[in-house]
Amino acid sequence: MSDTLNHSNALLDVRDLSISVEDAEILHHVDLSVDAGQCLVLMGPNGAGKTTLGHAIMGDVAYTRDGGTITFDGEDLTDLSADKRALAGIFLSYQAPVEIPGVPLYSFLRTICQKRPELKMSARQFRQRVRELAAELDMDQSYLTRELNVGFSGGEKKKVEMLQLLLLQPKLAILDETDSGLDVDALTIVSKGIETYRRECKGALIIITHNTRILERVEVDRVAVMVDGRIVEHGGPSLITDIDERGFEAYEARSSEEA
Amino acid sequence: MSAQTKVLTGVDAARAQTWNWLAINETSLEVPCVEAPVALDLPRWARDVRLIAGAEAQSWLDELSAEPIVGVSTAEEAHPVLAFLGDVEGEDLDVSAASLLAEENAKGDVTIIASGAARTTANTCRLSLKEGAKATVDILVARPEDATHVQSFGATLAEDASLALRIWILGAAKTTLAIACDLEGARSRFTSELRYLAGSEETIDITYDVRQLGRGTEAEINASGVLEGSAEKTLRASIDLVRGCKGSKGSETETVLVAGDGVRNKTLPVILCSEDDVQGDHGATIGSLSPEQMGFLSSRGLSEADIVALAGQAIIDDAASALGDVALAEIVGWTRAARGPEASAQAADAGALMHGTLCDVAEEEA
Amino acid sequence: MSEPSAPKRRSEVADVDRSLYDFVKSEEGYERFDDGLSEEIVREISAKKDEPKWMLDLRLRSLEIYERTPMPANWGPSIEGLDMAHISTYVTSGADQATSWEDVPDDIKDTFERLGIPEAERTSLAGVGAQYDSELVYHNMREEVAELGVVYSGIEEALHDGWENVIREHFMKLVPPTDHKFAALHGAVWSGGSFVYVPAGVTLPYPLQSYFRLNAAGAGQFEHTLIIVEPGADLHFIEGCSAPKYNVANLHAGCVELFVGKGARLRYSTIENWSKNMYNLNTKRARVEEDGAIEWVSGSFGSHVSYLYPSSLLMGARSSCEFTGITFAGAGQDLDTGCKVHLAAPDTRASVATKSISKGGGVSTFRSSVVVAPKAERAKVSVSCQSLMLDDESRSDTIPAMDVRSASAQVGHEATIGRISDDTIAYLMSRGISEDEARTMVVNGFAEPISKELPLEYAVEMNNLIKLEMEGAIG
Repeated sequence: MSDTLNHSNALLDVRDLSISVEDAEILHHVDLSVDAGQCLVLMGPNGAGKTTLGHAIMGDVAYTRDGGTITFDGEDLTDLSADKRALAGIFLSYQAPVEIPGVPLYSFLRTICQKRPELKMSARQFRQRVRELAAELDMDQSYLTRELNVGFSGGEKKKVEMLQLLLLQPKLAILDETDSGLDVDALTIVSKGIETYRRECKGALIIITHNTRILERVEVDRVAVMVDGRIVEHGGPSLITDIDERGFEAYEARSSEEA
Repeated sequence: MSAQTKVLTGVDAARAQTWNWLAINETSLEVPCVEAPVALDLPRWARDVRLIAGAEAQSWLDELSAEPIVGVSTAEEAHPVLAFLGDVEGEDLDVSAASLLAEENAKGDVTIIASGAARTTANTCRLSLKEGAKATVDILVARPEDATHVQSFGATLAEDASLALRIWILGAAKTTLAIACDLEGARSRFTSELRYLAGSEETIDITYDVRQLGRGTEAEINASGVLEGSAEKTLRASIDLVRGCKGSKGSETETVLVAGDGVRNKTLPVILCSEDDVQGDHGATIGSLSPEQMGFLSSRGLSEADIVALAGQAIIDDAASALGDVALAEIVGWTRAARGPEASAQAADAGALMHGTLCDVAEEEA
Repeated sequence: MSEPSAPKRRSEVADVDRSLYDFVKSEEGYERFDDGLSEEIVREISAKKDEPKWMLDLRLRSLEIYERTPMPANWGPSIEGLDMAHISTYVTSGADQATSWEDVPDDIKDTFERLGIPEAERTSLAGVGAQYDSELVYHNMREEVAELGVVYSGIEEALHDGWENVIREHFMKLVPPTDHKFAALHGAVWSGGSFVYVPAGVTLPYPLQSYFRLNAAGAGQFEHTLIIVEPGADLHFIEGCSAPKYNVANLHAGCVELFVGKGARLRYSTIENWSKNMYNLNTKRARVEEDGAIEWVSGSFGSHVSYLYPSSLLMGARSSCEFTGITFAGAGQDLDTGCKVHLAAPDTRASVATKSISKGGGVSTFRSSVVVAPKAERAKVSVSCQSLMLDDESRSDTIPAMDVRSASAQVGHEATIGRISDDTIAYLMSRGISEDEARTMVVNGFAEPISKELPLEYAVEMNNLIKLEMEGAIG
């Protein structure tokens, strides 16, 4: 199965990846690849290991790699720290963005842009750009002087994640349950943000979700289903309707047979 | 320094003290001797304001306060007080006193910018807020790395008065701050945001002493800062919920990022309580960032060194965006001298972001 | 308080024996040293115990330190009511130390029986020591525990029984006489107390317990507890203390020194219920080596004035400290309690959780220090203290100090002060519970995290104490 889906010219190529958290293996021999500009949806029931895979690709130190490799844009990232992977062009939108007291959103945004030579711009351009994006995401200017994520509602935090996505223009964005806990209005704005990213940055996407709502406005290329730390199915967008109707039961049954 | 100096003891003492071996109860301070003491002449309301810098320190401050500024704001006419300290050419010692009375329902603003090159700057600020008066006080300490700033601050609030005290300490060899606030009137309210940044060899010593006397008063102190190199910082924050202050709330929080192997951070967060119908709370987080915070920031492309630099820059940016209209040039100038052109450009930018029309400094830096 | 609920309340507390702690036995025929403190008295105590010279020297040096050390002038409750000229530092019934309750004089045996000590020994303890005024009257340990090589005896007996070198190496080394004025006093006049030695790798199946009873009026109790837990060993030690109430000041200035070896664990539980004329100036300290753990469980209910801060020196990498404490300050009490933690090695951990309750004009102060030394890389500390004010004539102060000198450490602290919310009481009353019962219920719930750390019979004792205290508030 993996032979057909891993190809050497993929943007992201995850091979035989096993990951454990606090000595418990969560992912078992996962293979996954995404081409440049492609949109992959990663679905699966709660606790299947989807978030783990997202964080493992990002290089989060809380997740220990027991085996396997991660190649991105032709470069072996396996041993690189998270900040190096981010600079290489990977962005992970957190399911629960972390609060950083004392750091105004503005200072944070300026700093992360300054780290990327391709995004160097004058202060005036930067201000202009941030204002535009804030307006697009329906965020008030006053957010910029507030401490990063501190006291932000769930929806506000997700918007700030979108703002960073659009500002940084990564080659690959992993959106971890970006839709969870959002009301209808916030969901619309976030979906628009995703569209903008696809249109303007031509970036690849991995959308982690167990809810198909957010997918209504996004053109999906491929779907992968994860159960119990394994990818159990690959397919086209039609899988989404399938799962919508029948849930994950069939895949779960298959997973327990394989295990 | 040619002038003679003396050591003041019992400075910034905490009201509720603890084990002396911790060396946390108070500090001492070396200052130039007073050559020609003046008799500070203040109106009664200003003399009645409680100050807690310590007897020795306060008389040193008073004896040097030759031309006290006294302002009175009324509901019809605001009387903002703005003081720049330490920037008189050739003067190595600049001590001042500023007092403001805000009459009923008046608005009062005080801004104290200690940014000059003088070796020692000092200021006493006395504030009396009558019924329903509202005041904002901003204090900025952005001094050269061999300078000292001594600040004494006291405020008395009548019914429904409110005071917002914002303080940024960016740099100085030694900064001492003694802040007293008496919430005497019912429903009076004190909030204070304190941000500090201390680099190698710098010492910051701060005491808050808030007494909640009236019914339904509120006090909130939020402090956060970054300590680099071998910086030393002491924060004593006392909230006293005095018997009779029914329905009052007091809270203190502090977040300290310890970012140097030689850092020493001392915190003494005290809540005194002799009333049952109150809520008092305190929270502190001291040390490194949590693994979750580090993980999140590194996922955005920041290395550990970047993260520490960001935390420091954040304090400068916050000062620039808040004080951009009065002291952007001072903040940017200090940042350029202390942390280089990239940092100062960003500070200028942060100021410009919030104060769009005052972009001269920002353009220059860019 | 509302009238209708009063009779119910009385029936509710009827099962609490008020005479449990507050009874006096005659001192007739006892040996009692003159009140006050002098070199002569110190020499007399030493001579009586037939001590080695180094111990006499330590006593005399301590006396000298005591005389020149002032009480701190800038913090702590007043001890003005304590006049050393009216305290006898040594009182003994003259009874020999027994290993069977049958051999303990009737009066004294009756005291400990009322306190439930022989009963507890039969059911749930590995060994018991009982001190009455200045001397131990009973010390015994189960045979199977003795066979493991565990030593549990009076410290003076151990001194004459082959343990002199070990005692000399440890005695007042963690708490030197220079530590503070009453540590010096302790060094000069100490008497009684227990010695425990747990060999490497030995886990005791049951706790050991020492109980200290001060019966004499106007006297001091100065017992010394020295515990050595060797690498990999595990011990739970329980300390109980009480005294009848007098209208003259009594003094307790004990000293506890605990040595926790590599990978060893020691839990030290105390329920202190001194009478409200007691000045309790006790010092407790533990030193913990690599991977070792000290766990303190501390309930402070009694005494007029307390200064009590069990301290933990985490000297070995990955060593840890847990402190769980409750303080209940009622009328006439000024209890200054808390803890000290010093983290001096990498990956050390400390967790402190305390509760305090103030009522009837009582003063409760939580005082702590957390010092994270530069060597304590990646140290983690969490401190949480909650205070409950039961009325508006009491006082509750929180004075925690932190000194952090390690960049990779993480220290978290939180404190809250408040009262029982009206909503809570209203809710409980809506279910048919009287206001007084509801308040007692809430206070017990507040204390629950502490009581669940205690062995069952002590948790019951603590709940009874809370009931008694709550009752006192109403009466």
